[in-house]
Amino acid sequence: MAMYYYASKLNEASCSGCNIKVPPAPTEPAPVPPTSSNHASLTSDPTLLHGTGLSYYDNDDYYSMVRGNKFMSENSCKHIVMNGGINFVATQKVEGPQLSTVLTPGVKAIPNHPYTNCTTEKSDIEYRDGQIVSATLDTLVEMLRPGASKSFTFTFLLCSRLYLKPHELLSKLCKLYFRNYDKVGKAEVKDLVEKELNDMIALVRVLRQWTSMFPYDFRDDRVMALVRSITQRCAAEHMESVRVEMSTTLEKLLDKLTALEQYEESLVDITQVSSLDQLSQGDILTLGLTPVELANQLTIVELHRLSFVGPEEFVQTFAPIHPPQSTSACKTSISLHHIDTKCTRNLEAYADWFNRLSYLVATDILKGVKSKYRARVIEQWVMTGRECFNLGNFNSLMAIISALNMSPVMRLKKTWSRTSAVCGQQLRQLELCVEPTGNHARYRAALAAAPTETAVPLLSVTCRDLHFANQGSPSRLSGNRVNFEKCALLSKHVSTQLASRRLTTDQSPTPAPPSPHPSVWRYLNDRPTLTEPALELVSFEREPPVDHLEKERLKRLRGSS
Amino acid sequence: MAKTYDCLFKLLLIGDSGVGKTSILFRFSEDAFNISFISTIGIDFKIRTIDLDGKKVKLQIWDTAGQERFRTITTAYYRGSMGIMLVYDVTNEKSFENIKNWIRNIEENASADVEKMILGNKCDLDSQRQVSKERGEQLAIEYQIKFVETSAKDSLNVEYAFYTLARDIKAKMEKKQEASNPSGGRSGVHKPTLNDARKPVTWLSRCSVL
Repeated sequence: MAMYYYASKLNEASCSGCNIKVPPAPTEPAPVPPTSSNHASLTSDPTLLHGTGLSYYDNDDYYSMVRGNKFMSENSCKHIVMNGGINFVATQKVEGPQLSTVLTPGVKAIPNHPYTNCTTEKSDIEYRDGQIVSATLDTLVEMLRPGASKSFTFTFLLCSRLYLKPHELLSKLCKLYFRNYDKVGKAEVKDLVEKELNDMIALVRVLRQWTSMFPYDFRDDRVMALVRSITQRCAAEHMESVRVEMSTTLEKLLDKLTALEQYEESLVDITQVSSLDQLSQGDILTLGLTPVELANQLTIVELHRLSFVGPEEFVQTFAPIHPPQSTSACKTSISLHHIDTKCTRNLEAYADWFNRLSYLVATDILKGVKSKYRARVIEQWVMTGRECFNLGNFNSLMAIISALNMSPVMRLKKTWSRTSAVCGQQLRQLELCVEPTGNHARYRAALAAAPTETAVPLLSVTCRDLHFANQGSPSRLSGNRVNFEKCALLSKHVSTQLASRRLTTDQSPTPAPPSPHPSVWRYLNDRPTLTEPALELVSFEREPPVDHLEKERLKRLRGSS
Repeated sequence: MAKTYDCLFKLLLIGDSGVGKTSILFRFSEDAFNISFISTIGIDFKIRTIDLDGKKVKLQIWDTAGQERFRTITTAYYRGSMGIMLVYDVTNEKSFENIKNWIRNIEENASADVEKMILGNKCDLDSQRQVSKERGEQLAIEYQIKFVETSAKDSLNVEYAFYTLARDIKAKMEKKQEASNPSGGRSGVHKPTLNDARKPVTWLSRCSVL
């Protein structure tokens, strides 16, 4: 069971090895602890809607496991725990100008970071109109702290994987927050204890943001190993106040990972069959739903599937220019795409849903033996598409329109002639809404005006935007600097697609959508559809070929089947 | 409006994601662009007008990149396409194997007389090569399609590929025109709307893709 797997991991994290280590004598003063205002802004952070479409969790075993065990070692650990796979290398403290001196007035979101002990020169970070244009990777890592704006945190965590793997980033963070503590003597211990606690609070808050925005990163064992070592540090006596927060963070993370696993189990391959006999009875008309009801159900399915797509999947799947090669020759070149960190396929599953819906609509139409009936099915789908538009569900709308434009459906002249004039008119209007002139100007305007709770952006447009945003500029600028402008652009596109989740705003997430109607759910998710050649063959059965080109096509189809 | 060209060809780049379709397109098309251009205006297709035997031929090149997985959408790109570049990556065996699937896809969705050409891209990365030039040639012979290895990075053979495809389309059109209109007239000069006329004209078939 998935949840037990993760639970055991976390449990292990909270119980295992408490290596007591007396800190060595200090060689330099410890850094100033972060001010409390650095943390305060985040305490009321809403949790993010991530995979809440399922009522996935009704087993209290895990809770009792985590809560009951708490951190059992708390009484035995008297000193600072130094454990885990992190190399705590104390870095040289160099007096340098504070970050704020290089900030333009427009930037408020970045308070002074007390731990900026590397020289902050102008070249470390560059701003234009208050926006970060480029920066060194280390500067960005240092800016990743509780006081940072949510959109910065989201953007950087999202795009960090173009430069380093999540576990490498977490390791960098740990180094940043834990440095110097292995160099203190007994005299400073008391002071230090407080400082270390403040550091830990900051780290746990960053971790909380990270786990709520990108929970799937924590599927990686290397990331979890680091989380374990952080948890172990929290086990020390003086860490009591941060323990609850750490434990809540882990619980929420576990919930999300468990929900993910259950969702993955619910995904079945799209069934495509090659003959009409293999299809089950019934179609959109026998379903007995009004177009409004069906559009609502479609939107629930869309939002459900979308809620499980990790934001990082967009960058992992679409952004990299060079997918890694297994050849040894590639080892020397820098691979942008850390495929070994990609452990989810929810984006692919969501894209496949789009295809499935198109085939479902086309199959539904072609199933009808009589042209009059097929015309009614078409009308019903067009009306459903219209209601999808009203809800702002552009993804379903596009899938329906694509289906109606598939050649097996489009060529049915007799059928189309039997649809009502209103139907044709509506279809043309809907087509106009998603047609691509001016970089989809109409669609983008309509999306901006759509109700946020039910708006489902066009995934294909997002993918295209991301592709070109990635191709249009390099990830790294001269001097190995991070092209943060590009990161911001990628982040903007991902946030637009996941707007219903409100990843980068402080608004509370939308409530879970209403649960779907079971029979409709089965109809939309489980029902087999015809393959493409089968659709063509059936289409020629319904209305015979009209010219020599179609006759040739039919001959070829029969020959290959 | 005065026409600045004699014919318009709609071309399409297809192939697996990551094979470098967009790089080929950027390499070939005239105008450079930057990141803000993309975010504000976006790209529907790229245009380049070339000179073919004294005729101005406007190439309108569509790129399916980023949308490879949306079957019913990529299919819509095929309509009205007169030439298709099938692109694979010589450092990626899988992308080469998939060329056959893309050809099947073309047969199912594109007009029967569409001109095709296979491009083995990224041939500058010789040390990482997984697909030999001979295998590419072999496949091309099997399907009777022209083939060339390209490098968008080093600008190798990209021009040649587009000129070759455009020339083949032009030759086919002229042949067709002569067959239907043997008494002559101004052969070689075609209306830009000489797209596949049998398909009903909707916004999808007008070549606009999502």
